[in-house]
Amino acid sequence: MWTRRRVIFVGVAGVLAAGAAVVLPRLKSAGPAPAGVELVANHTDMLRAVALALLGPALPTAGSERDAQVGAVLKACGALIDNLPASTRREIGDLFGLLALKPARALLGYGGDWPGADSNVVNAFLAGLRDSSISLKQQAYFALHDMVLGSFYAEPTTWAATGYPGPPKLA
Amino acid sequence: MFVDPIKEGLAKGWLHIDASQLGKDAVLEADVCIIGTGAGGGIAADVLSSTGLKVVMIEEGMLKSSTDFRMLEAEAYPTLYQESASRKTADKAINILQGRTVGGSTTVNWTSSFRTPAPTLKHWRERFGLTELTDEHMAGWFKLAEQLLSISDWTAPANENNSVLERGGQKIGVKVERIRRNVKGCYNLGYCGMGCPTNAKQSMLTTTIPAALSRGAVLVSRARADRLVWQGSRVSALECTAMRGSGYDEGSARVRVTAKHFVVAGGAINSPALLLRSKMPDPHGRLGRRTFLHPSLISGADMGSKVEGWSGAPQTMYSDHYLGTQPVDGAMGFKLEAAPVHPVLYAISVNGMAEHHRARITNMTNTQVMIALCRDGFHPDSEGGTVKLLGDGFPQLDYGLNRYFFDAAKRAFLAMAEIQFAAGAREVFPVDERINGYRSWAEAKAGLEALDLRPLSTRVASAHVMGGCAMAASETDGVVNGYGRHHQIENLSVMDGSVFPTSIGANPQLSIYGLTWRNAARLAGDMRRG
Repeated sequence: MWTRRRVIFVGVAGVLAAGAAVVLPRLKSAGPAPAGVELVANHTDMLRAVALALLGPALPTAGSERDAQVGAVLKACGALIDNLPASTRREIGDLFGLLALKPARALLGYGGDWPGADSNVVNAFLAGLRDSSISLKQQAYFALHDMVLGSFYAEPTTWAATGYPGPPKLA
Repeated sequence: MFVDPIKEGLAKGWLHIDASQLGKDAVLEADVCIIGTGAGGGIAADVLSSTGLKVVMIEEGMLKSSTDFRMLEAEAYPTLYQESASRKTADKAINILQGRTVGGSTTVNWTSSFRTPAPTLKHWRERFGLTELTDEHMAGWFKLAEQLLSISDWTAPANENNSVLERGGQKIGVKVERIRRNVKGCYNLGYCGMGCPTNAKQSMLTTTIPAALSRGAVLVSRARADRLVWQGSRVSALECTAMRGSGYDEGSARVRVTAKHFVVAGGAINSPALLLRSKMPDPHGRLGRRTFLHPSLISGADMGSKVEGWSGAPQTMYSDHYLGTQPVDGAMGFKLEAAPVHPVLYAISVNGMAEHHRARITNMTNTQVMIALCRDGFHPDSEGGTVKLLGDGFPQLDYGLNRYFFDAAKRAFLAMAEIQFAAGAREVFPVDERINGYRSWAEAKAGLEALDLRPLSTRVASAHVMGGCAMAASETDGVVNGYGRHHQIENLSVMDGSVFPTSIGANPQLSIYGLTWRNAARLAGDMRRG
């Protein structure tokens, strides 16, 4: 079933793609809404790069702990998406699909690869989405901002730095 | 260890069906089928069952109770809120916090209790022909609800997050008053928004729903009301789909309820959506229209010392000063309150990313958060939003934020910044992507006055959903009459916040309790007389 929002997302994708002479057949398939776990698994490189850029100094610099925290964020994003209505899961699937296609994301403002992406460049890309006058670009920024930062600070291991002691113990 | 009155009741034999566990279709029969178990559904279930009527309650959310409430955002938002606490308007510019659990939003609200303000009732009498709804007439119904739910003055000291509002208001001559709360033996923990673990909050989950269940009412959870089956002027049945897991996936079982009367109480957005899916008669095009949100602005302040906004009763102080500075149908007024500060909600609300975001969040302990709730629905330029159905029948609220609103938003940002600086803030950061923070009231004033506020960049939130099935004396102006009875369908009522013809101009729970009590008592009388 096609929702109005989905048509708009695909519409934007179509316009963007037209400039690069690329068709986006994947976005045009209807069918069941994607599962969060599947979406995250299919877009791990993109989500990891976006999470590293959004979180910046919130993440530990050391390798294994850093990887563990980013891994926890991605897992939490999957769980969050799974608890959203089908229409929203489709929108997120469309957004991730756009960001996965190099020509499409180049038109959105980032033409690089996701694995090993420079966080400063990704930050500038995200800021461009945020400051755009196009509502759908802003929506994309807020979706990523809220999903990643909300998922990160849901983890008790991240609380110490915020001063939040966690819930009180009940007798 | 705290007792869990719900689990104790279930052990004693209360009738609860978790539809997600059904292996086959179920058929239920009742005198009254109530769809939704929030402020409206809860009171209706109590009032109607107390007169001997056989009641079935349908709830899409899960049955969770005090021993499940572990004060963790990661658990509370996906299990207790609509769309994991990220429900949004069509253009994503307003984030809506609304309950989706047994007890509805009353299970997760911040306990603020206000009677419907006099100017609101007066406007309803004059504009919507609801002539019976005088302050005196409603006072009796509010009093009943206040007694049942232990609504009383909060006498313990306000936490620092609320004290900032009081202190700053006093400094600049803005009257700040205490909020009454629906609590009994409150532990002052500060986690009302994640479900009360001590049963102190007198929500529908701990009061009216147990009362109805103890009288033999049946509760069906994890059942989504798909449509009401009707013909001519009567509804014959409600058809539901069992849900699966904790989210929005459908199970295979169906639940069908037949009843003499149907009470729709899914809350604004979901109630009009059910009537839209049912293709209910709507000869004057009122259904789903004029849905209101109290669209709210957020202002953070670095107080330079500990605030610990996660601790203590979340809302105990308010100011109605800016609701009274102009007529109710003039420029948009706003109510000021504080909002609790917990890591997830705070992290989402703070603007920016990387270093900027991190600096804000590492100073969360010293951060005060104030909110301004804008009173929508009283001016011709404030028509609210429209509930529409997506292709799969899921509702979406299309609510445009216009210049009339942003004029109020700017005044609200200015008012909050002035109060926060007066209370001693070192820095104030109204939540808009383009604002990095102001170091003085003069800087804030200049910066805000120069800024063109706009959707998405300016963060707007809502925890109050009202309208969409408006009541009005005339069927040309509303979906239901002043008693919540549907104008075209004789055995159908709406009893929740969706009947309000404007926003309330205050946290709406007590308005829903009082009005529903009155309307359910009338319905019980009507049904007794046949």
